[in-house]
Amino acid sequence: MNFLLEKQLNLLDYALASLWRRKLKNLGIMSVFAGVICLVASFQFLTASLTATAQDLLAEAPEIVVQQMSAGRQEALPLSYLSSLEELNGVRTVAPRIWGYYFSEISGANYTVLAVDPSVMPKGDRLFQAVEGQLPSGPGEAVLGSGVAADLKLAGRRSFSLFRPDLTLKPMQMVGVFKPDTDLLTADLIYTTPDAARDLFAIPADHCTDLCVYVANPREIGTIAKKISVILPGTRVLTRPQISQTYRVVFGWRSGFASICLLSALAAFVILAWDKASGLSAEEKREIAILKVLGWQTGDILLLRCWESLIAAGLAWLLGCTAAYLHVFWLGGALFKPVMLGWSVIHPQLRLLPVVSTADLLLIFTMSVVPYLAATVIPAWRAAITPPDAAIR
Amino acid sequence: MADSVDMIVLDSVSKIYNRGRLNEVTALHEVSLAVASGSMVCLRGASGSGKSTLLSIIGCVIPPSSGRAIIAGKPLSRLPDRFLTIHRRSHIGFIFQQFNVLPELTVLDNVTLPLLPLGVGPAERRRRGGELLAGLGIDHRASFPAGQISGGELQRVAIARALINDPPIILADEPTAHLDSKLSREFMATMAELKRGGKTIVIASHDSLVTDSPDLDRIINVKDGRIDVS
Amino acid sequence: MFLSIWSLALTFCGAIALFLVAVAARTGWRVLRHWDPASDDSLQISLESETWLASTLVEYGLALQILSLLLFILAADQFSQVIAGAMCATGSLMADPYGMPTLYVKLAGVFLYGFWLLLHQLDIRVETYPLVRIKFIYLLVLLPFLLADVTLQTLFIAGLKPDIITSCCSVVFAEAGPDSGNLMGILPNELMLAVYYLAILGLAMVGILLLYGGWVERFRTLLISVYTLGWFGFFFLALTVITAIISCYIYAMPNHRCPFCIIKPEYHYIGLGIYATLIGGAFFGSSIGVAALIGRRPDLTRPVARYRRVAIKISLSLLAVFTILSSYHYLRYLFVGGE
Repeated sequence: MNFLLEKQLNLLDYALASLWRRKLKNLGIMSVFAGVICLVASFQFLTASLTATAQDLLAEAPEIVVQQMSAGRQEALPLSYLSSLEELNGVRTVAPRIWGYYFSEISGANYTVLAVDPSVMPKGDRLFQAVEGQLPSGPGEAVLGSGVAADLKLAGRRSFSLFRPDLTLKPMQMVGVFKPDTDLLTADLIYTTPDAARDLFAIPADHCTDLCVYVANPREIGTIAKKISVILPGTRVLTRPQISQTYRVVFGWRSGFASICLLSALAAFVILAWDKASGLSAEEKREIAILKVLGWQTGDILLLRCWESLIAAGLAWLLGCTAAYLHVFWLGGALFKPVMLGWSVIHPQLRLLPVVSTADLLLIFTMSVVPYLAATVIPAWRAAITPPDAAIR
Repeated sequence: MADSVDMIVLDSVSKIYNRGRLNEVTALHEVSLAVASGSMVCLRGASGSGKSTLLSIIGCVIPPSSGRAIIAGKPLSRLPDRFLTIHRRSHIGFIFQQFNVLPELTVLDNVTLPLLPLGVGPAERRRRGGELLAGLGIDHRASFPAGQISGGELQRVAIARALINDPPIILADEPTAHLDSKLSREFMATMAELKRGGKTIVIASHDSLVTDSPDLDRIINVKDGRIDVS
Repeated sequence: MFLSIWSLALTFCGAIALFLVAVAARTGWRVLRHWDPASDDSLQISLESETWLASTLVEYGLALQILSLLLFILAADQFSQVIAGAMCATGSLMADPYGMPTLYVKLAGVFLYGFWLLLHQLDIRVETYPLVRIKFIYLLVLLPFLLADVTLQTLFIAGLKPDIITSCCSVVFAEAGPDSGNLMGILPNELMLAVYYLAILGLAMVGILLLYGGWVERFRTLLISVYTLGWFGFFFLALTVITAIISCYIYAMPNHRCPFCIIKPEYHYIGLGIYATLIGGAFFGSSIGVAALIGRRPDLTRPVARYRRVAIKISLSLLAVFTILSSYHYLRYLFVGGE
């Protein structure tokens, strides 16, 4: 047992020295490989981080949202539904909400307009923590997301105007901005009072766009959602777990799609690795023949070559993952964020939560080191069967 | 003076390369030969005479195609490569033409190369290599890259490497081809000393400095894949 | 659900393993047709060097198989977050008829590769390579097995449908998550644990007898069979006990019975240790039976006997570590109490 371990250590030692002797060539290969791994890992880290950030923010979202559907499209919902929902067992409270989109013709951007009375939300006071400034209370007051604030080019002014559907102007007043760490959800957000939002979208006074249902026991979300769809047929009932799943699927899908694109880069690299490992210089051939005539087995040479591949690929993997970590969490994933977040004009400027799991690292290992090893094993064998008598002839 | 035991026995040994292919070559024709334990013999022949093939078979590098070869008591006929290697590394020490050192490795690393796959740890390797180098008077070069030392030192490195596993048989392939006459004499003196130490030595050479050496027990002439013993 | 990086990685892994084993099987086929130890023509020489390649490729195959087993469970855990009703890996594996079969095939693959390598190691200890034919016939069987593995896995991935909120429908109601625990409740817990610890004790005793009991020479074959079959049975018993009883103590939740979550970082990867020692122990323990079956030839007796001693020592050490790891949370609960 001891002898086997010592032998492996000897071969490992020799492999390290051998890599170091050809450092220029090996460093070249490794840095290209590390670059490819960095791309793959960036995507994975970005996905994991966005998912975690979204989960974090969703933790505050209502458990159930009820929307009125008509002819397959969403429309305003009468506040009279409120009482029938509040009567349901297990429902803590119901908050009417106005949620809509405002298209700015000047910048071509879409703003999200949200209005809900913080006093009816169970954790309404939490909103204070997300806002720098005040919450809207008076007519036309609003809190703006960082993207909207920049887009409106307020330049120190507090008042601005938006168009109603009939093209009359609705004067608004900025009383605060959302903090940057909520950017994923708030970048394009205008948060205002329900009255102001109704005025802006010309929604009747006793209507809202959807109802937020807060449930006391999260285990009952499914049951209550089912009941709501029975007593209010014609509505769409969305639950928080579903929204969270949708986020995951969308991010997962995008990262999968991006990975397929990156696979071509990976494939190109693997071909390069195969090619590099196949070309055996006269110098290397001589070295192998000498080692073999001195008593190294074909298997020893093969093992040596595999160690070399594993060290090179393992180092590239470490390097690539570290670079990806820096790229995603220091530089904010500058290269890929446009792909992962929406395609709307205002990109959230959020700071990503650093989330790196062992599972992700293993995944990246599988996508990079494994194909490299597989690509080099057959060339390694070809090298290892160099006949020993080549050293004598 | 020869021991009663023959260290090397070849009986009608032939070697055919690339058998079954168009470039099939018969390098040895039914060679029979016995070398007593503790003797020193020289294989003399021009290049292409089959000398190297003969040396490779004696050195357990390749198995014979037919015939019987018994090296250090082990019959080699059709032994798989793996077992030839196992036998070779404990029974044969090689000294090559141009010495075949790896120029980027240090002298000590070159000498201890055969020990790596045997699982000998670094401390033990240093000890054994150091002892041998000291015995040959070049321990001051131990940590020099082998590519940077003189021809005479190189030759002693090669000898040290051949001895690292303390094999009973030493094989040398044209060892003096790249040495001047002084170094060649020095080399033969070392071989003679090893012979007195009980090693069986086979030197392939056509250098008169080797063939005229008084320590040689026998010269075996190799020509066209056959031998005639003189 | 192919467009997820996890599905991609699994498919990737499978494709690479297929490629490597196919190359190895090609060698196997050539060896079976042309192997002739008496010949020294070029073909035989190249076949001899190809056997090095084949064995290295199977070693890679084993490594890939272990990796893909781990990856498969981790992927199932990831998938559970997008599948309605699945709380963890168990849920996604149950969500599709191909989930559990894939897992079993992958697990069996680890043993099959391992046994091949054992055969190979024994074979190359003897100058005549006595096991060459059986070894390469076995290798040819590995290929369809791996094919089945990859096919099942692909069907599993293809069958998974994530639940996405679409604008056309109302609520996608989560079906209640499958209750994985109940299929295990055949015996009451106390009885089950008693059987479990008795089995550990029994295995250890048989192992020690085989190692040090010179006087049992006459019963050696019997003991080897008992040890081999014992490990085989213990493997399944242990999996059941881990799922039904031990996992609850690790999670500190009486109703969470999942054999997979214990490998997650939340539980300090204790599951990885538990499964690694169990699978390793079961492999080495049962391998002495495999070695004994093929080691009847006189020239193999010595290598087989040497291997048996090593394998029993390894399996006993792994059994000890496994027992400590798997009992830790249970014993802590017994002595320190719940949190």
